[in-house]
Amino acid sequence: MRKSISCLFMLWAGGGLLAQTSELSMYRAIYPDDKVIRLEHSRTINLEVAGDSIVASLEETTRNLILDDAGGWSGGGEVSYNYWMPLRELEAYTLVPNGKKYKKREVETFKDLKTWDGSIFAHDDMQRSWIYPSLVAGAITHQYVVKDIREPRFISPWYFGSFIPEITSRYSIVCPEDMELTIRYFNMEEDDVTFSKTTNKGRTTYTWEQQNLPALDIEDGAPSAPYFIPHIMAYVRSYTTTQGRQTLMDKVDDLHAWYATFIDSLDSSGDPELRAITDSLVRGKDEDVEKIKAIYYWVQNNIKYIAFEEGWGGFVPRQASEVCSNRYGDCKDMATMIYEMGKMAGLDIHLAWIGTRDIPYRYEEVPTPISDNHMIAAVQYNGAWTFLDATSEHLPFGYPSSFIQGKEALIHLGDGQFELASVPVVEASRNALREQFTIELDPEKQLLKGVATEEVQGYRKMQIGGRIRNAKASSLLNDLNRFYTVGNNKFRLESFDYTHLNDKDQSLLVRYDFVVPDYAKSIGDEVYVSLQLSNYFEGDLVQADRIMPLEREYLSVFEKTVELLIPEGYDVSYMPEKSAYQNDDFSFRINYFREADKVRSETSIEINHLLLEPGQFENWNTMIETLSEAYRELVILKKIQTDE
Amino acid sequence: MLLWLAPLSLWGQSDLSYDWEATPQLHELDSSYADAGTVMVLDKHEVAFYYDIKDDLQAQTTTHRIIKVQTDAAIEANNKVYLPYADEASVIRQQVRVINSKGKVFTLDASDIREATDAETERKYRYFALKGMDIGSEVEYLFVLQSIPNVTGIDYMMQSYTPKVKATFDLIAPENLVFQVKTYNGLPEAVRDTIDGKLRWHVEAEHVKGMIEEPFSNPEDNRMRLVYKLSRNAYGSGEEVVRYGPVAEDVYSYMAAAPSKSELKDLQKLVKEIPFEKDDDDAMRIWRTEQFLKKNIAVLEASSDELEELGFIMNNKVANERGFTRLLVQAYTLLDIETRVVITCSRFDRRMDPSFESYNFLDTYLLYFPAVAQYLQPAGILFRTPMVSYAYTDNYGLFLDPITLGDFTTAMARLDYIEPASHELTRDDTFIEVDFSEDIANPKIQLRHEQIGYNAVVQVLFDYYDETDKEELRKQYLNFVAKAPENLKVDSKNEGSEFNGQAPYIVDATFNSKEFVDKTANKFLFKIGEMIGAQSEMYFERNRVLPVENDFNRSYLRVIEFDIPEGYICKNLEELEMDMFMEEDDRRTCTFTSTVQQEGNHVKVEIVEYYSNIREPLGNYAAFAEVINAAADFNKKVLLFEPAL
Repeated sequence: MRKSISCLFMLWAGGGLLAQTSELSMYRAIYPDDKVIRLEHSRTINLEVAGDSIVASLEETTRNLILDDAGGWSGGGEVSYNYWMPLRELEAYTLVPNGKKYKKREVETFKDLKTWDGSIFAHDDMQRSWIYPSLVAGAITHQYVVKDIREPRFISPWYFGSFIPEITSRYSIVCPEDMELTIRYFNMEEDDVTFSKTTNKGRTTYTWEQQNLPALDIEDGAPSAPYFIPHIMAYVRSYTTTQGRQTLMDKVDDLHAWYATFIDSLDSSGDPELRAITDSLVRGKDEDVEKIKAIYYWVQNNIKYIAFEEGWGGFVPRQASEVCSNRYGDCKDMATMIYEMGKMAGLDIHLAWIGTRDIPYRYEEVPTPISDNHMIAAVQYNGAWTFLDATSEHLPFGYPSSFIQGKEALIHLGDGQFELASVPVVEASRNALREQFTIELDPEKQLLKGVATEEVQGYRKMQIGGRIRNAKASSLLNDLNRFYTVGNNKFRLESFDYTHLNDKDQSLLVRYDFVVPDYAKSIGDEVYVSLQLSNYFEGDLVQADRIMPLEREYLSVFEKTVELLIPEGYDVSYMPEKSAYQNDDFSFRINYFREADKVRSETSIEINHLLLEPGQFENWNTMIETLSEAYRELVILKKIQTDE
Repeated sequence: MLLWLAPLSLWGQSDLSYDWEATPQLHELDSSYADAGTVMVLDKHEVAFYYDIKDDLQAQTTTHRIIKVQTDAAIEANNKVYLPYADEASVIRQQVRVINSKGKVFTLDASDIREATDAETERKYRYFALKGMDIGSEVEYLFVLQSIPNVTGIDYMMQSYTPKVKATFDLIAPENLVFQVKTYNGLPEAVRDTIDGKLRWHVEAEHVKGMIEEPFSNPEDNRMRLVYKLSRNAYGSGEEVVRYGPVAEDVYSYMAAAPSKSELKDLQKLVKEIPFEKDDDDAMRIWRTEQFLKKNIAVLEASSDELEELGFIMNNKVANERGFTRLLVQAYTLLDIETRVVITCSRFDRRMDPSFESYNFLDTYLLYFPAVAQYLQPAGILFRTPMVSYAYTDNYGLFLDPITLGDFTTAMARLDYIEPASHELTRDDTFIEVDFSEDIANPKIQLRHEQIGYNAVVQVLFDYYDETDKEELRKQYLNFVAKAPENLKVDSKNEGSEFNGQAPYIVDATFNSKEFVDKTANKFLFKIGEMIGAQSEMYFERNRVLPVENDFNRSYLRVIEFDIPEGYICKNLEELEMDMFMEEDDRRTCTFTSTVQQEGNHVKVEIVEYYSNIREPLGNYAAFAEVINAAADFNKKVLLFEPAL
């Protein structure tokens, strides 16, 4: 398929004088399901040295071909810009087919709007948008943008491919001959791309080009795009000024030295409110762990997350004294508060930068700001690091936030000193859900009555706790009914109690009474009843044609025991066999036990991976099929025949 | 522009004496508010009209709110405030403060307040983060905005989704400007009096409950609200100012105005491209014209003069709603098909009040074709005749009836009810054959799913979706019925807008599935009820507040056929028989009826379900819920296959 596309493409390119109608029909033949394709997406980064610093800018051209008249529905264009990348020039027009030629129709009206991003309260991201005129089939939209790049460390990667097919994707960097670049390829090999490097009059041009890229389809549950989209990262390692050789981004040391300037003026040691709060929190506590926990929980509980990312505000934390008075802040503000309060309490505490799991790079591989997007505090006691992220309000002490598990933290130890430390992945058993059901059956009414207790830990507690917090005291049973439903949707909560919802150091304990009408099936003198009640992961198969890995938020364990009291006058005439599947990444087992007046099932499922890789899909499906089959097994109760 | 509203001489000025308390006190709330995270202690809204020094009418809007936060979640919901304001508005006063639970006051500086524009609605916002908030805090803000007055009909919602201890609305006007204020949904009527020589209308409500969302309901239309408009100018002619008559004339003169010569030429060329066929009747010609123009012209949500010019529209294949409506009217006129322009609003915002002429109800255009008694929605790219978005049905509309006086044609305004489409026009039918002959635990299933009407909107989506999304659309119903089908083959027919309104969207699937059969010992339980997919249920809705409102009328037919496996018997077939319904004048308004026929080993189950009333009063809720729940009850039906002795 790939081959035939490029053959067709060559044919067309050689044709030269072919009328555009045949260009249109050719692309329609290649892309029968697409309304629009991208003929060209190209970007050139221009780097120059002026005085002591690098002056950078970006030129970008995007040309789309409309294949179908209905393509007009997507006839808008937009470009985004912000403080770091102000817009210098923009041209947009449509080339409208006109006989054998094109007629150029300029876009005349542009709108500048601030974009909305629910997660970031204050930012300076702007968007200029417009509508292309005359988007008939065969029309070509043309967009040309020039932006300044205020900070050469922020040159972003180049992605090959887009959500529509791309005919040509080209990335260039033009820079002084003696400027050194680091070039890295991700999800691709160097050979996958046509590369050229030419030097002319002291300027070197690097160009990477790919052709005929299919539309990208990001599958549900896949990790973020940089994990699988082929891309190139090129950044400035060093350059020469009148002062001599300058290093920009070579080693982690360079990044750290730059970052250190953002935090060197932080000092709230003289703030009386902060001091008073800290003193009251650590008073009477001897152990470091007790002190830091009290500080951490206070910041979590009292400082609300509001993100400010306007210009330098995206990098430089506010003073802890100000954050404390405002009672809000973003990640770096909260980290700073924990840090300052920790210092007041005499702890070995530090600020740290980190990339969330959306970012696949390690600092040593890519020592640039592309590698991180988050700040936390790190405290050391008993010879180990504990990571403190107050942006998750209900996160227990000792757990990193789930979105930084397994990532690398750049911990600031002092001037020119840092440590790269790995954030642990929280083991499955610390995110457990353990359920215990005791049920009784009324065979005549097919009614199930039961009592359940539940123990929930870690990240799972944060999830489940949120549901309970959102429920109103006056309508608790109503509000929670849906979340606790087992058996079938006639499930009704009769009572509901919980403890340790807000005690972050304890597991959440829940106890509820419930009934489920129409649960068991009574036919003749037999009752058919499932001892599973809830079928976690039933039918949760990975699609056969899936390509991308599946991402989990965290590792976890489910354990469930269901005890059925055998109704009077009945006996167990059938009990299912045990069933199990074992693998390092995932496993389950189901066992049934017969006791004097009870029949009991024990089920456990363990999810022991953050990424389910394609190589495991088949095994995963085998487990799910085995598990689903086991769920369909019923217990049969039979009326004991009595002589009358 | 508003000179006609000018008084004979006097000019007044706005009143800026209103202020918040210099030393704020926290409010004690009674126990009925204990459960609410956020409570609006005060919500005062005042619109004051006055003449400026140039005798132009101005409006000044005062909003004063005190909001108490009682939970962490409420802090997070309220510590970021976004206040919309009109384009032309100038801010006369903006004061924001937080009184924390200990009584400490944090007042916001002007520099803390940011501005932005929402990219989609293009509305301007002021937004700010509130400092110092803790549980028990009160947020207070007082905003006074100056704006160009709108007197042709404005909605004001007194009830929101947050409970309010006290809500007030005041409308203040110069003595010559007599307004009308109408209240709805239990909001007390406006009290009219005079203060300082000005007219005032005052509406006040205490302990306004927070509106809630319930299934099968229309909360917006049920909110306590009011609408106000200028009724007459005592210094002027004294006649009603806001009337539909002039709107009808104005809109008609735009829609029906004869096109210019070049426009007519382009239009004739365009209409010639419509692929009519010989036998086409009126309905078909209407449909083909709509389909052709909707496929070829993009309709944008934008206001611009050129998007309303016929020539521009046809050359650039792009229009806005108003422009596209005119293009349709002109095309149908050229085709000699009588059309009527209708203007209405979404009933999910609030219904049009036929007894109150007010421009806030005039939101969207429909076309009505008297010859076939059908509607068309110009801006509804997902709909084709005879369907228009259901939001615009079961509502009143302003109909523009042409009237010819000598050689001059204009339009008269007429209010009429827009009937919702009948349940027979929206169908969702499923035909299933289950074959147990090869493997009872893993039967082979043949399924045909047919949809028309509102259910067939998917057909139009095929015009816009890419291959991956199309594949998902095709499997959508199947995924609803079967979680883990094996050996799946799916074939679908009539994809694309060209079939919408003409032929049902059909998906044929064959697959095996183990999920419908539980095996235990030597018996099989066939979970036949699950074959209709999980049905919505209202088993445990307690304390229903809102009357029932359906999105649209609809019907379902499900036929499930199978042979009882050889060597087995089934003794509980009769459990599948169900009949649950509501009646009105001996007519079933909704029903769920399941019947079983058995011939030898062959079993045929037929389920008829429909809903033919959009609305039911609150008193009918329980009966309605029973019919809805009947389908969910069917989900629990299980047949037992046991070895024949």
